[in-house]
Amino acid sequence: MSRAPLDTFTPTTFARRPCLVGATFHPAESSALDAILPHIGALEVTPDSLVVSTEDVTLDTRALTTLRALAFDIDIVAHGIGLSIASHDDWWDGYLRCLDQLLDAVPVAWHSEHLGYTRVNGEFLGTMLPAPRTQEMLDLLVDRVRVLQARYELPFLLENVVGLLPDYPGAYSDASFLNSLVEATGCGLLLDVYNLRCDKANRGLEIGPFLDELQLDAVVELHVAGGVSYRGFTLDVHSRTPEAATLELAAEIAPRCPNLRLVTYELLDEAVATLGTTRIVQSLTATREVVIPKVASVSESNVTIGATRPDGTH
Amino acid sequence: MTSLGLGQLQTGLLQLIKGRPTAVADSYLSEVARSEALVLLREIAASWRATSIQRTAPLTTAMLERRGYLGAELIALIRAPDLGPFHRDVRNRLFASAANHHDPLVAAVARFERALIGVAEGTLECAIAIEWPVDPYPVLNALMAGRELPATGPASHQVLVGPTVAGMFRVMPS
Repeated sequence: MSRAPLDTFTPTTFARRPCLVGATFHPAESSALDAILPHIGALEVTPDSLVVSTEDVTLDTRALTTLRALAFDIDIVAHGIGLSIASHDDWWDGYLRCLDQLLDAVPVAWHSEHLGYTRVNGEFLGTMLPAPRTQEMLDLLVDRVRVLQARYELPFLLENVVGLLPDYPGAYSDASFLNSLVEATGCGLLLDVYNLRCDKANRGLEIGPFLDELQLDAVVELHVAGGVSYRGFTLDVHSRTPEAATLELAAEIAPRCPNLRLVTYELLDEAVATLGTTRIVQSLTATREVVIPKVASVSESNVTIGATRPDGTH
Repeated sequence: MTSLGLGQLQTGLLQLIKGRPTAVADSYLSEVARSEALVLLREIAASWRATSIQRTAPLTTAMLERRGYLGAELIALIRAPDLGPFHRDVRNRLFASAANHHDPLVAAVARFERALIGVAEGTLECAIAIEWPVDPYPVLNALMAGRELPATGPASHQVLVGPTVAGMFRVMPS
């Protein structure tokens, strides 16, 4: 598979493609990259993980060069961690500078962020908390998603975040909150299947009713991952291979998502050496064999997913 | 019944995670304060910081652990209000603290590792001399091998670290 050069790339060229298997880009693990490349059609890169100078937020030019070269053969998607889109005061503007540099150097099919926050009053939390499902939060998020859509002419996806703390009583269910965001902005969704299993284990999320209520045609990407159980909690550390139950749940969800384009095995940088490339490749193979055959075939009717707003504008 | 505004809610959770008193009385924040999940979340935050410094300052981290100071350093890193998520910033903050540690061996290891990284990253332009209270080699060997520190008597040494020093550093008895 080869791709058009940067100047002829458009998001819709990606949207017409069949659903791919993807992996996380680990800039410090070049041997692992060589091993997994034959098994993937896309790489998911976290722009803020490429920062080499925190004073002026500049990205590693070697990593950008690598990604640009890879982009001729595989698709690249951006997946942020540090934007903190749900912070009440302000998001982290440095993340946008990271994304700007990535997009200047590499053709990216879409970008995504976690529906949560890592900063409050400018202070780093040390962890990520999910956006509370309140009207005030929704209004703020809608404004911010629109800013992102205006700034970057790329589809933008939001990902469900695990909630460990007691659930804050909000006006929306898990699914209706996501649906409201999609309806108001035309953004897409990145559904982390392992996070759903964590939420089921930790706070009793009923996955069946959640999926029944969720606007699944907004789902463009799935994450599969593995984590650990600790002191009675299931943690979304994304440090292990995905369990069979996670892949089976992804296989149940996939045929219900007509615009699904990517299933990414998400893995922490720190876990690459521990797991080893053999097990990573095995997980990618398992993802391809278990999930991809269940994906609905691509039709011409859905080529503009994520790029179309409810009013029909692009 | 809770009715916090978004700012109050997030500020309250920040305070709870950082182990500070919350500014507002609220039933939800009280529930969080009593929850096992909050304890776990604090542990997770500590483990991320620990992972960060183990990756970026392995000698200093190992030295702090051997001497029983790592927990206190991690708490300081977690509670620092102006420290972001980047490994490099966390590492530099750790060096700033450990290089001035009251334990002279901790300080020596931190200064030594900081200087080596400075050479590797091109930020240390001139050689510097670091005072060690003991022979550095047995200590460094133990730290790199994951062994307990050897029992060694005081023996002042000076370690020269710089970009023009062959092998990046040279140990000299002083």
